[in-house]
Amino acid sequence: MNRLAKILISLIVIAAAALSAKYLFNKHDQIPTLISLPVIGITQIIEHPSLDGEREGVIDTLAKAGYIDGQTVKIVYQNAQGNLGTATQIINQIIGQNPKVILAISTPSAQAALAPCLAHNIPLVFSAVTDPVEAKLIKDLVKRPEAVTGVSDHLPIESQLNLVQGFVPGLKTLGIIYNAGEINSVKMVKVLQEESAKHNIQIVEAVAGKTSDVATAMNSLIGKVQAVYIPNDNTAVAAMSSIVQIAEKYKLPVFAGDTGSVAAGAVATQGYDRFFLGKKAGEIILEILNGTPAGDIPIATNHPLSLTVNKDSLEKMGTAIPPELLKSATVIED
Amino acid sequence: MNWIQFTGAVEIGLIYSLVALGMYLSFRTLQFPDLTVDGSFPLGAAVCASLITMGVHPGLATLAALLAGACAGWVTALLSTHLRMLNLLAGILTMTALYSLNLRIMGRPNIALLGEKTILTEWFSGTTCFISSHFVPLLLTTVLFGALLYYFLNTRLGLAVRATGSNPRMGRAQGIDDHKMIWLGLSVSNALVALAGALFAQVHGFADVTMGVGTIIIGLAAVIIGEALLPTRTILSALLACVFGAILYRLVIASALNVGEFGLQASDLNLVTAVLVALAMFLPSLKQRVKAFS
Repeated sequence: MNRLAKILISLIVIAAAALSAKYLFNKHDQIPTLISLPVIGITQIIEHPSLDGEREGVIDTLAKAGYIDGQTVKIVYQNAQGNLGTATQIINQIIGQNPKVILAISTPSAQAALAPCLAHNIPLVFSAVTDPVEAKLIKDLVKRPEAVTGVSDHLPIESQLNLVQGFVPGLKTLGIIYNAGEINSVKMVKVLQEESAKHNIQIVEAVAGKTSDVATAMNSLIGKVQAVYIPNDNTAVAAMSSIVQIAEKYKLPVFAGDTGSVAAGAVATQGYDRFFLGKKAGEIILEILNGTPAGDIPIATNHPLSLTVNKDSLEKMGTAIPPELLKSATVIED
Repeated sequence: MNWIQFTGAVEIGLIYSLVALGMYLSFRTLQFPDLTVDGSFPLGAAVCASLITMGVHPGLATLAALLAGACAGWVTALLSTHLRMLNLLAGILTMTALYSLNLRIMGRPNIALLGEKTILTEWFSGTTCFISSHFVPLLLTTVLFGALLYYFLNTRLGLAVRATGSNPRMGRAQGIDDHKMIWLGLSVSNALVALAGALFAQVHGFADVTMGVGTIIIGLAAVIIGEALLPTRTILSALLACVFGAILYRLVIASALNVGEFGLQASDLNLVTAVLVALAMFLPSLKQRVKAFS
């Protein structure tokens, strides 16, 4: 019986080892198969409506240009689910498949991708990065010897203040909810502070470290501000529903920095359509696939702004849209 | 899995093996479930990255990160021994405070180190091995600190720490100051974790305030996987098991990234990782069960 058990275990172990070896070393090996499609790698830090929107924009643009996943090209998409250690491993996994180009969505993903891409001479395209120079992805916006380019989602801050002032005449106090742990938000808030000082608007900050803290942060603003602005902050945007619920209760208009948040219940946004930004990144990838050196492709900035309004929220938060704004706005209705 | 992915997983496994060694000391030796590590890992990265960008020599910056981690561990130990706080709560408090502290230290949530001097460029430039220039320095660091920890645990002081963990009352009866042993143990443990954070920042070129999320889970998984698959009767084999467990955990994630062919999607990653770890843990228990049955 004992001997039988030993044999049984050995057999199981050998079978498992053989199976895993076959699966581990055969699947994505560098050995070219008969029909090997060109690979495009996509690495993203976390699942999130805006980041997902950009990715969809990229895939859509590629598909329209004839690069269809599984037919003419192989798109390898990996998501680190918020873990930076995993993000670095994802890059290795993608590079091992010898991709033509790598798209990194979000600042940490792009930072994790930079050194391996340069080492293996693979062009890197970033998107959903606000300040690529400060993130040290590139040294200079114009002079770029390395094969790195991408889309910057830096939002001109005047446009945001004008938006809120358009809806709330005589704006004196504006609340803002963000996560002090996100570099993009911190930069945004700093610029907003400086700009609003010029307009005599007082900014009241409410910081939320995680999505479960957002409701508390929102509650702390009640009674102190005339309106609330949510920048492109991953934490605050992910908890948009809890912000909207409180805002409707106290009739406090909420404005956002992205279209997704308006669909989730914010009154209005003047900003970038994430799908559009994704299309920009897609166009850059197409240029690289057509042979343009990535260093020669300019960083895409200053995208067209679009005003999006949620009609339902307008009523619930007790605000009205100025008629001259309504003409140019895209209206979301439930 | 391809070769680049394999070496990448081993590299990051070597970095996290320092976390595993630190957690072995707190979790297994001192029997102290220390949650500080989620804060001390980014603390090490924050201190190291900030100092490097200020122009401090990377070696010195790494040493500073080590000391900062030791301080964090000491605070947790102090909360536990002097305020008589529950271990878990003491760790949670330090970890929570460290989040704000890390933001203060860095002055912003993310510092890029690309193009800056690091210990890799200063001391190990040109040591490429297995297509990776990080492999040798990381292996050396792990071996060096693993050996130091092994030596420490076999000194009289180390034995006193071990005695405190296994039976505090008995330790006190032998004249051991168990409070000081907890201070020492947690300081050394968190120093190792902060060192891992400092190495991560230098190897991957950036420090981010969110990089500590899940450190405790990775460390614990490494310790437990190592224990399940390797013998841990002696201290040496237990430490080796920690390093092995950390690398194996990273290899599991690396293979979980390759399951796209089976109709799984990118968002299934964590689930696949959990299932693979569960399978790995199941093997030794299967062995025991069969043995008991026969």
